[in-house]
Amino acid sequence: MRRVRIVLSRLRGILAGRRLDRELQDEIEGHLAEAIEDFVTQGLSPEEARRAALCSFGGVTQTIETHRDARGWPWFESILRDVRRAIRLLRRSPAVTAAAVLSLALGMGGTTTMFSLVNGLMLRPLPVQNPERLVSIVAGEETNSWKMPVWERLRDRAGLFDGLFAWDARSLDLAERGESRPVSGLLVSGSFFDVLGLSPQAGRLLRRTDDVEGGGSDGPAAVISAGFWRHQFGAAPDVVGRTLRVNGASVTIVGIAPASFFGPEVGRSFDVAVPLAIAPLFAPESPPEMAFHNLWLSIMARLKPGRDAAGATVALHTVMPGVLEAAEASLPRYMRLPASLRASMATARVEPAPGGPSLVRDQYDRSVVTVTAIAVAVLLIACVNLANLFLARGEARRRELAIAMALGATRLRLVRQLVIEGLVLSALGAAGGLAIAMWAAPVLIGEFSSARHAVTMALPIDWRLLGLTGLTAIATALIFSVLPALRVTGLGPGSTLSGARVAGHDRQAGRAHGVLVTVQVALSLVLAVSAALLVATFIRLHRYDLGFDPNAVLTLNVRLKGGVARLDDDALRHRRILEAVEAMPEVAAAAFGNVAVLTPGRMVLTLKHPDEGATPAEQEVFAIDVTPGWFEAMGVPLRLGRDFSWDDQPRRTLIVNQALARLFFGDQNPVGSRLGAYAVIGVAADAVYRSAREGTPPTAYLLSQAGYGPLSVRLAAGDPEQLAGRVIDAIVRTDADVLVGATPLAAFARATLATERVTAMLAGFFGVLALVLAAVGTYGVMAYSVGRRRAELAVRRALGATGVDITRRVLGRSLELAVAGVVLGMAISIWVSGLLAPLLYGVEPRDPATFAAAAGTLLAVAAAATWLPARRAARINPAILLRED
Amino acid sequence: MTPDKRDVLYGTLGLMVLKTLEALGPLHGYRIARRIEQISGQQLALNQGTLYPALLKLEQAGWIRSAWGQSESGRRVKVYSLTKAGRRQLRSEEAAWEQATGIVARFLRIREQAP
Repeated sequence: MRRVRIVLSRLRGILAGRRLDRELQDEIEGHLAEAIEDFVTQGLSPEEARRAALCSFGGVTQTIETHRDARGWPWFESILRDVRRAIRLLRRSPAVTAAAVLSLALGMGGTTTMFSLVNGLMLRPLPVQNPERLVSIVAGEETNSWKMPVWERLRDRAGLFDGLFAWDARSLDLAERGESRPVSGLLVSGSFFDVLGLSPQAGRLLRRTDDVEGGGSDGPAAVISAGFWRHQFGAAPDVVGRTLRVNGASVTIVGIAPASFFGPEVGRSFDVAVPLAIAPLFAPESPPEMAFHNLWLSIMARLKPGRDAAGATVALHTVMPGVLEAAEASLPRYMRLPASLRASMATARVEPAPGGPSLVRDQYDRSVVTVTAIAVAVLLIACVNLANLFLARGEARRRELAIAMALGATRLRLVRQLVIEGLVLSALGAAGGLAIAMWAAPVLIGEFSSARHAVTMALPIDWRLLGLTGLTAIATALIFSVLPALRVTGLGPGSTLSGARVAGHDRQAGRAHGVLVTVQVALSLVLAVSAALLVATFIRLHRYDLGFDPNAVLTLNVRLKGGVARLDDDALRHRRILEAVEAMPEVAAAAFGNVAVLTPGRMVLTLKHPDEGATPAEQEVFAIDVTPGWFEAMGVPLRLGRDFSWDDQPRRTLIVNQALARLFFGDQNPVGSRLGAYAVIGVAADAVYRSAREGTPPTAYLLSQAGYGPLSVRLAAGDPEQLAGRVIDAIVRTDADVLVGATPLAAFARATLATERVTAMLAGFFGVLALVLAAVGTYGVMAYSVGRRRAELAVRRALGATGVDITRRVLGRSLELAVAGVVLGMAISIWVSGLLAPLLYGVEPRDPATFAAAAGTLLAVAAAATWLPARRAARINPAILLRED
Repeated sequence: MTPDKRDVLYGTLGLMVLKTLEALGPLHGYRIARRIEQISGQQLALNQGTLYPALLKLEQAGWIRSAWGQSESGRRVKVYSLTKAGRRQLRSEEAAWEQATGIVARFLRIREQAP
């Protein structure tokens, strides 16, 4: 307490210094006046009394000094003085300061933007109560999801955790029929909000009593997010109690979630949360037992006090076999899990999950970390420029510093002063960097979004981000100011003050600049190589031949409404929709396929090898159930045989792609051969199934007459995006009881490359920035060195060197440094590109052409940056210059 | 003045100030200085100026507080008064001093008797 008070009073002392000085002055004057009065009453003359009073007081100035020292911290005040001095000095050369601050701001803008993403994606815990106690229950390698009966049995095991909750994030639809209006839904257990420890912004949150079939006292209840409340309801104050239609079912809005809560998953924000138990209301078209069969729930829990994740795992293992047993026993045989999956679930792990699970994190973490490292390297390059600048300025100020030292300033004191100048600059840079990050980070997050996921993320400026930025600023300042400060204060005052140029010292200074240029070129080379590799990866993937042309294709999600229908009815309705779409003049071809290509979805078919005794005897291949015309609609050419027709027998015929044909038949024509129960009737060209990175796997196409899954429509002409509405209208006119959403296939194609695109974009940007900074740095050093060596160069001219000789000399020196940098950079790049390997595609990490191109670019940049200084050097007129000195 | 002497003086000066304020109630700087000189029987030649840093330290520690007021002759002066914490501090310092002086006194007596 006392400590704190002293600190506070001292702080006040520093801040209110002048006022306190005046007060003390007043007090002392009062004191002296009283004393004089006393002495006068004792019979002294006013003059004598005054002298006596001053005498008994002692030194007035000394008192004020002591008082001042006791008031604040002298060292703090002297640092403040240094800061003020630094600001004065920086203001004296505004152009240089602006350039320095700008390059620092660019460098720190990069790092801070990336820190902000790292923070939002990986460091920031969920905005809930005590997130550090949250854990995820991880099923195993194969799946991370659980089925309903397991959850129902696990949630009642009260002893394991301080509460468990389960949820599923899925798209819900506000439209009942016609064009769909998807919203981001959250199906949550009744314990969800309670275990997370959230309180509502309005109304109430979901409770355990809501999580029962048909809903609780309010009927089927829903909680909406604050964002949804604002953009869907215009922040209407009376929203609680209103009815919302979701997937055709009515739910009552009982409350609004707190504004900071985006959901349990970083990167995705929810609009509407409804209890798990009323899930069947939202999927009337799927058989209700599917909710019990499918693996679809994520389960999280809160650790009991004093228990850690490892302890909870041990405890979980004691109950898990029993829970699984009971859960499986409750299901009909055909819905039970394969033994391997059950075994892996029995040994489920409890893992700390303060940040919740996140698909976006899984997808982007490696890229974000890589680009962050790149951004830090760019900042280092900017640092080198500043170090050069500080070195040059320090040398220019050497005389001033020498005088200060001669007058008794210690070296430490001078170094401190120079470092404080660095800190002031880097604080300004950090402020600029934060401003850049505030703008750039949300833009970047926008780039993460794709047709498949709208990525939203809270990117607040919190203590973590400020701390990281602050540390970066301090580290930056130390890097670029300590060494120059030590160097320029390294010489004693004598040699500098004598006015003699010490040749040896000049050479030393030149060497310091040279080392910095070399380091800078090396770093830039590493960045150029990394950026080139990442950009090449994206270009290769982007140019990858998908095996079809996605640009004229529209993918439509058609969901039939009207409860669970018989398979035949669905097939009939799908068929009618198909015919209506095909009849449109804008449409070239249309077909259903049960797997949406270019998404992570897949269907697997196990095929027997046609040859007896072949190994392996069976092969799992990717498969798609398609209606006739699918190949035309997708634009996948048929190489051999024919397409399916509506008259073919389903489950009897098969079309294979070339990869599969090669796998099973080598070079022979497979048409007419049999694969198990199937007759091969055609061979299709190879086409990408999930993503270009995975290439074109062996794929089998099966005939489907029911036509489930997305509808692919090839348009004869025009932009798929603009024609989407027309196609939807045609479908709705045919069958009013459907929900349709449309996405151009090209958007899915883009989505498969979202990570690579963002990575390449950022790496490319930082790579160019690195080159620019290196060019500026080299230019600066060479221009400075030419400036310093004017006398020497003039003497050379006078002694007969031609302008060309001089130019060659300067260029040669610069290239010498650049070559050293390139060699060093190559060595580092060989190591770094190995680290990049997992991100690369279609390009060798140590691709010689890339390395050579990067090296060439840097040498060219160095030569170009030296061109101007070299020309200036060549134009030095010895007569004029020698007269000057 | 050597630093050692001043330090000793600071320590005792603080105690004297606290004691003075306890005995006489709120006072301004000059009165405190005069009072200390009087009590010490003019033996302690106090540099009155040193009083002010000492007062500041006592105030920072929260043992005294100050406010602008008026002297007997109507001058604007800063008046210092003892706080509750100051009273407590005074108690404990008094006890410490008495103990210390007691020990020293006994020690000196023994030396007188020894030869």
